[in-house]
Amino acid sequence: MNTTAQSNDLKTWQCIVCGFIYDEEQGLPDEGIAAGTRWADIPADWACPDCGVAKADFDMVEITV
Amino acid sequence: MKPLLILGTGLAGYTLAREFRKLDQTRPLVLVTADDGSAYAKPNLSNALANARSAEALVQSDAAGMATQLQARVLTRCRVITINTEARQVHVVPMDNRQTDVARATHPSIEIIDYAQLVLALGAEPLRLPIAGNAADRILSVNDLDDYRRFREALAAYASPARVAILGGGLIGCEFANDLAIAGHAVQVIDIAPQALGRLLPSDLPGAVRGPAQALQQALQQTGVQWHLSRSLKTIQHSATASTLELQLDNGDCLEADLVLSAVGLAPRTALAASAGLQIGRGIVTNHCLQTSARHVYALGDCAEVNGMLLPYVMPIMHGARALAATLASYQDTNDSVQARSVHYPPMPVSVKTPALPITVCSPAMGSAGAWAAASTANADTNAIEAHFLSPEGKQLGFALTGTACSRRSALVRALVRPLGDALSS
Repeated sequence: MNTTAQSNDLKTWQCIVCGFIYDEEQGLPDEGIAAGTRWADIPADWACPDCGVAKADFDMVEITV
Repeated sequence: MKPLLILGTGLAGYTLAREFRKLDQTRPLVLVTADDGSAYAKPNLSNALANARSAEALVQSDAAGMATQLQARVLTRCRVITINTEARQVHVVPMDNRQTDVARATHPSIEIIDYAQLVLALGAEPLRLPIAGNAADRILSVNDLDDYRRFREALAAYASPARVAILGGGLIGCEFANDLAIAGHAVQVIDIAPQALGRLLPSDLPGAVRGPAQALQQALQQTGVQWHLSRSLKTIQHSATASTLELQLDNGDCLEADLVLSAVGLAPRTALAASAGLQIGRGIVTNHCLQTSARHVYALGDCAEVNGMLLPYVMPIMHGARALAATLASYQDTNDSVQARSVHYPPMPVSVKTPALPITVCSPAMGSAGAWAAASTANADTNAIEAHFLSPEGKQLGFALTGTACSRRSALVRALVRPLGDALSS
C-alpha cells in the first residue's frame, strides 16, 4: 500500500504584541484547543492567553523552527 | 458631528481607536500624541535583542498608516496644554522638542479642538530616583519607543559586551536583564528589595527549597546577570578619562558601567487631568465604566486608576478598550448621553517573559488575609515551581508558577476564588 506522507508541517506562531507562542503540535489542551489544531481553525473569539489581544486583531507571526 | 478625541497613541489609545471603529465608522476620530505616532507593542521592547530586531523593526505602522487604517486624524508631536471639560474643548500645541516645556496660552500655534467625548490614554512616566553625581543625566529610561531608540543607539556605540547596569529588578528590569544577557552583554541589576520581583512574588515559600523569586535570580545568574539586592545607587560619575561610568552603591560597593537603565516603577500621568479639575488619586480616577469625574471624559491604560486599581499591563487595556468602545459608540448626539458599559476583568495573570525562567503570577487582591505555600505536587524539574496563596479557610486567592509549571496556569485560574463585591470581577 502506498503510504502517502501526511503533510505534518505543523507550525509555530507568535503573538506580535506579547510574544506568546502557539505551537500547533501542542495545541492548548488546558484551554480546549486540541493538540494539532491549526491556527486557522482556532475560534475567532479566541484571545491570546497572556495579553488578551483578540485573534482577529493581530497577525500571528509564523516562526519556522 | 463632534469627534471622539483620544489623547495618546500607545497600546491603549490605538487599541481603543480600533475597537471604536469596529462599532462606529462615521464619527470623526482624532488622536493626539506627544511622540511620532508609531504603532508598536510595548512588550516587544524587552525581547527585541533576543529576537534580533532593531528599534525600527518594532514599528507596526507609522502615524500616517494608522490614520488611514482608522479613518482618523492623528496629530503627532503635539501636546494638549488645556482641557476645558465644560466647553468640551482642548488646546493643542505642536512641540519642537519632546523635552520642551511649552508656555501656555501665549503660544502662537494653539489649535482648539471641540470634542463630543474625550479619552485620556496618556500612559505613565517612569519614576526617577534621586541619584547624585555628574553623570546622573546618563541614566536612561525605557518606557516607550522613543526611549528605546535612544537606548539602542547608546548600546550600539559600545563593542559587545557592553556593561549595563539596571536600576530595578521588577518585571521590566528582569526582562531587560535577560534580553541584554542573551545578546552577550554584561548585566548588573540593583534593587532596594532583597529579591527580584519584590512587588509580585512572595519573599519566601514554605514547603519549598527556594521560592520563585530566588529561582529567577539564580536562572538569570546562570546567564551572567549579577545581582545587587538590598542595595541602592547613591552616585554616578564620569570616570577621570570619561570613558566609563562609575557607580557607587549605598554600602560603598563600586561598579563600572557603559550604560545605565532605570526601571524602578511608573507614575501615571495625571498632571493634565488634575489641571482640568478631574479627580486624581494615584492615577486618573475612574469608575468601573472608565468614566472620570467629568462627563464625557474617560481614562484608559497606565494613566487610569480604575475602581482604585492601577494595572499597568496589556490585558486590562484589552478588556477596558472593548467595554469603553461600546460605551463611546452608544453616544447619541440628540440627547448627549451614553449607555455606559462596565469593564469586567477576568483573572489576569501577569507573565514575566524572562526566557531563562518564565514566570506567571496572579497576585492576591491587596490586603488579602492568607499565606503563600508550595503546592505539594512532586516535580523532578526543580525549575518548575508551583506556589499558591491560600486564605485562612484554604481558598485559593493567588498563584505563582515558574518554568514548565506555567502550563498549570489555566487550571489554577479556574480554581481562583474571586473576592465578593468586586464590581469588576467576572
